[in-house]
Amino acid sequence: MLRIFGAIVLGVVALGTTVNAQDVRITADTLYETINLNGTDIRIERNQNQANTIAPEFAKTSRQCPPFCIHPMSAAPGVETVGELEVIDFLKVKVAAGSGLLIDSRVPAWFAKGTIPGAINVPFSTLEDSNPYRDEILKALGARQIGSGWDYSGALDLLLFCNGPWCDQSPRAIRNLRSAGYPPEKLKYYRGGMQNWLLLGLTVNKPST
Amino acid sequence: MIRIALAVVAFFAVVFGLLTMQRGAQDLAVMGQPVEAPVTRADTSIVTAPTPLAADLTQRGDDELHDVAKNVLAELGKARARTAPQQADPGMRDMTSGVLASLSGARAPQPAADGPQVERLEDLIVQALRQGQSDAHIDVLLNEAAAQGRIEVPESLVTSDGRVDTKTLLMTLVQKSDDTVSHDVAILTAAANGVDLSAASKPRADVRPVPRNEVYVVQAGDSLAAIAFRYYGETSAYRDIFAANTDVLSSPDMIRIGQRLRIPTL
Repeated sequence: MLRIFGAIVLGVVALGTTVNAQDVRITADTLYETINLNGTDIRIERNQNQANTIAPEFAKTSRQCPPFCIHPMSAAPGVETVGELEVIDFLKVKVAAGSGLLIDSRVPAWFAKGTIPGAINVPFSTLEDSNPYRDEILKALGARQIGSGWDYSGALDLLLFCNGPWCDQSPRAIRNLRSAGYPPEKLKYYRGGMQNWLLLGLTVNKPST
Repeated sequence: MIRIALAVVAFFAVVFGLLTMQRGAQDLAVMGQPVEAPVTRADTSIVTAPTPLAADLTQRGDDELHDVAKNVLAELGKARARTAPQQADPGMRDMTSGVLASLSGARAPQPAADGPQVERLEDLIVQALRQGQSDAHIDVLLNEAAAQGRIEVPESLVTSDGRVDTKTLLMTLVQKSDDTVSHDVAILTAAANGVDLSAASKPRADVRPVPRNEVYVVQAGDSLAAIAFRYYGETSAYRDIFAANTDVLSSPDMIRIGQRLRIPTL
């Protein structure tokens, strides 16, 4: 009798601990996400160590402004600002289907230090008007050149981010794309950037070159 | 006493005057935001039928057009120094190559481009002519391509406002084309439409000898090739005009509105 009781208690305790072992979820019903991009699987989850804190580099509260000023919620008229869950959805739906790209607008050195899984690096400076090769990039994003104008009907949906609400690189990239005629409904701005992504303990990829 | 008072009043008047003039600059500084240059795009929404020059050229074979274009451009002199964008640092080129590589990796069917596409002027023209573009459209195309450093423009075709002299280029192409028959047809068709293309007939019989000590004042939109054509009926004669004005022109593409050019008697 006692042994059965003991077994049940142990069983409940064991069940209890397994349930509590991973309790830093992304949403109430999502512990992690696995997304297949171009043949490789990426996994996005949160750091499970509840005592974990953010890296000192991203813990600063008072970077010099200018140039690291606080940016408005909207990067450009008509361009939607999104959060982490929308970024993950974007990866699952658009990027996995090949109709969208998650773009890290920072310079290559920062991209190499760690980025959001599934992101590709399009440094903001390559989208400036002054880059003579910018047209090649627009074409690779799916734009077609018609005379001296552009047809974006076949262009990809883009979600851009950089280091955080104090970083102006992705807003600049978005504005440059807009001035090149990129439709605003095909652009999204993840204002939180690496700062907020890290602050939530989400997975970071170090791209292997 | 009065003189001192007068001097003081004058002093303050001057200071006050300077301060009020300063205010404009201060206002800008307060605003702080750099003004973004508006991006102007040529209006290509106007569709016009190919004008006689372009229409005439479209009737020729691709190879013939290519050859004629190549020869004409060679005769019109060497390319002017590329505009600033082409001097973009190699770092930007490498960064763009990296971007294109990752973009093509992300999107399988896209071929990885390896740098800027440097095109040949004659290819651009032949392509535009094949598409049946009008002269005005070709003009926009060439100027955009030149501004981006994608094509090399012969020095003699650069106008006093820095643009490409498409009209003279197309005229020279028509003039140099071998087929005299379609040539004359083009001129007749043009005349029927009220456009005087008799200037494009070859050889130009109505070229009068240049009077002595002739001086020409450069107007807006003039290129050395156009001026040569006007006086000698031959755009390649721009070299003679250039040779006679080396004190004013450091290179054939440096002509500016208002310059007084000596036109030598050949």
